[in-house]
Amino acid sequence: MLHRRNPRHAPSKLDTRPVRLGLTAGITALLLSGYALARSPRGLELLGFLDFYVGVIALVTLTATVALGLIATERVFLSARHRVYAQFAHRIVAMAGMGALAVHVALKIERPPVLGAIAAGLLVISATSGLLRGMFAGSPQPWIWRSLHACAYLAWPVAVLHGLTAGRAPSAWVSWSYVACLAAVGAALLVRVVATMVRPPAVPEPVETPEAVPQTRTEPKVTEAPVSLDAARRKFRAAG
Amino acid sequence: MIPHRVPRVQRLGPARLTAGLDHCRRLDLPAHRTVHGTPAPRDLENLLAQVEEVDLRGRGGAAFPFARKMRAVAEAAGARESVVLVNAVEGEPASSKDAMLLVRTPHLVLDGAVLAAEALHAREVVIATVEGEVAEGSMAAAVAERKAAAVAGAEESHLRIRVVGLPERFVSGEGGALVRGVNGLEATPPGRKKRASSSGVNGLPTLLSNAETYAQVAVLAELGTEGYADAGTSREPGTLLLTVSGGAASESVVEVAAGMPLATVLDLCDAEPGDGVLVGGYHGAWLDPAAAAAATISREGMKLAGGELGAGIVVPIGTATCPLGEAARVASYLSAQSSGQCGPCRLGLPDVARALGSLAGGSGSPDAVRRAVRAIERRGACFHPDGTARFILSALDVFADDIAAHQDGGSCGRPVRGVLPLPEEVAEPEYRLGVDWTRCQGHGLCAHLLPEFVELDDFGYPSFRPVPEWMLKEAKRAVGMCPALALRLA
Repeated sequence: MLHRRNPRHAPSKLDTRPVRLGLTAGITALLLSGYALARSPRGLELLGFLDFYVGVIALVTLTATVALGLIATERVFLSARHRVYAQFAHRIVAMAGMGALAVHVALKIERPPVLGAIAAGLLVISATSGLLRGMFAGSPQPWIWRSLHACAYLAWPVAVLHGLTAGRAPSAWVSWSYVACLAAVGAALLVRVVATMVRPPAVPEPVETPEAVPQTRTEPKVTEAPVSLDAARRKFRAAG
Repeated sequence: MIPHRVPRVQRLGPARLTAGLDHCRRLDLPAHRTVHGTPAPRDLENLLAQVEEVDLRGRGGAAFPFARKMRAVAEAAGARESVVLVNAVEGEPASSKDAMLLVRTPHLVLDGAVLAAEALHAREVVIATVEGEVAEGSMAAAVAERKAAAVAGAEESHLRIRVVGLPERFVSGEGGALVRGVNGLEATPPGRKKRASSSGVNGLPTLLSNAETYAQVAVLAELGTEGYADAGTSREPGTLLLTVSGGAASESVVEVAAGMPLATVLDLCDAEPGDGVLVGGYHGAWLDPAAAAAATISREGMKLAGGELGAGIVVPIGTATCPLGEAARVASYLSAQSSGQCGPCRLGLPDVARALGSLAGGSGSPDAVRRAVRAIERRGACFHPDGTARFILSALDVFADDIAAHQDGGSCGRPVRGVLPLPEEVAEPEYRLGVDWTRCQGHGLCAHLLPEFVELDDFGYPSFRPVPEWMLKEAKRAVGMCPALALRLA
């Protein structure tokens, strides 16, 4: 058992007896089941099943991941609550997809096709950036995270292509549904990009105020009547 | 190692545990050997006979006969190994005698522990103390001094000595909690009692006693039974350590020969009993001034006066402070120190503290407090609820006049001065959410995830309140989920 004889006296939550026991049991179980899989006929059957189908499972879950990720940014139809749920679902499905992908890669490690390798590499970048998202929050360059995470949009079509070309020939409906997925996500992505690009600059709305009426200058009326005795005399003289 | 500030020491009677401390702050190994000599190792029967003859009791509060404990360990061990565990975790804020021993004369404690360990053929000596305090450093230095002396050729025992620091809490000094802490678990009292003498450190039979007890063993070995019994009474020979604090003008550890009047001790410390004297610490009982004037310092004398000597804590409250308010402060401290394992303690102690607080505020009644106390008595894995109950019930009796004044006028007219020592409160860390306003798009996900701490204005933009530590995980999640990468945690 993983055991520390003289315990360090700042026990963390992870350095406890149950965790040590659980970890030990987990590792042992994993090793034993791997061994049993490779040795028993039932295990070989299961391995064959995984060999055949786990790639498809990975592709379907990762397709769902891309779609959910895209949905999670949607603001027109979804409320904050639904977007939070979409983000959670995105993460969970992504985890499952990466797990399936890991099994798929492990089983097919001997003869990796080029397309699959490219897609897997790009996906790993995307997944890692997703795990480290908290680190980029508040960093001065959020666009780094966005571009890293956007690798998924490259990886996914490549993966679909890989899925359609490698292995057995797909049925027509499978190909058509992938094409439909690609078209739907592409369209949504297009809308998103275009919407970002044509968005008018965010400037404060002009505020309506009462119209200012400029004051017109009125000419002072010249009064005919003399204002003083002097003026009267001058007027009289001018008149002759 | 010379500590900068050390607990003050006074004495009434012969200097034994505190010998040599008048002139220096800490006795290092050579100074200790000059003052106390080198104890000759002795076999188990010899040591047990001596301990039994002077009826040495544990000095941590329970006063369990040390010889019986030692015999139990020897029997449980048989041919196996055993461990000697020194309890120097003083959870009591009003006690500093163990800290004084560890800081100023650590080798006396080590001598006693090593004597016991060699008699038992124990595997190691473990000293459990409070993490990060001077006492831990001093004890570690003392162990290093011994190792250095052994390397240099002095006749030091080669027994392994380990110093373990535990987090400071009121309940970590409880025996079961201590053993759990030393074994690397959380230092909380176990639900089912296991005797340390049958299964303690690493599951081995463990001799667990208070630091002062081991120091007394060393003194006993140094003086012999007759010399040891020179001081004290015939039924309780020897000296004992008291910690006097509170209303006392001079806070100090006092070495007293058993049988001295309490009044003399209080005089020595320039203290006036005032409204009452707390003996035995925050799990002890209050003595009214008349009983305090007549009481003598011994287990028997304290029992006659209506108290319990416990770990030798004496806190005269004086007349300048509101005693009921002081008791309410301590009650709320004690309720916060519940480890939260047992329901009646976790929920009942705050209830008791609230009842006492409203009594001090003039609105409650003593009967309400008594009702609340009844709900916690004898209902916990350790002595914490019972000790708290004893403290509060005796306060209700001794401060009856003050309670009447509070009920009549809402207050006794005196401020609460904080005479009863409590550890300083550590402010809980708070975290602040910040936002890069140039990035925030008003998505509003943060307000959905942290509704109590984020408020949205009419435009959908957030404003934040400080986030307490227990919500940190949720706050981090909100930061990670901000679609605009605008939220951050400071």
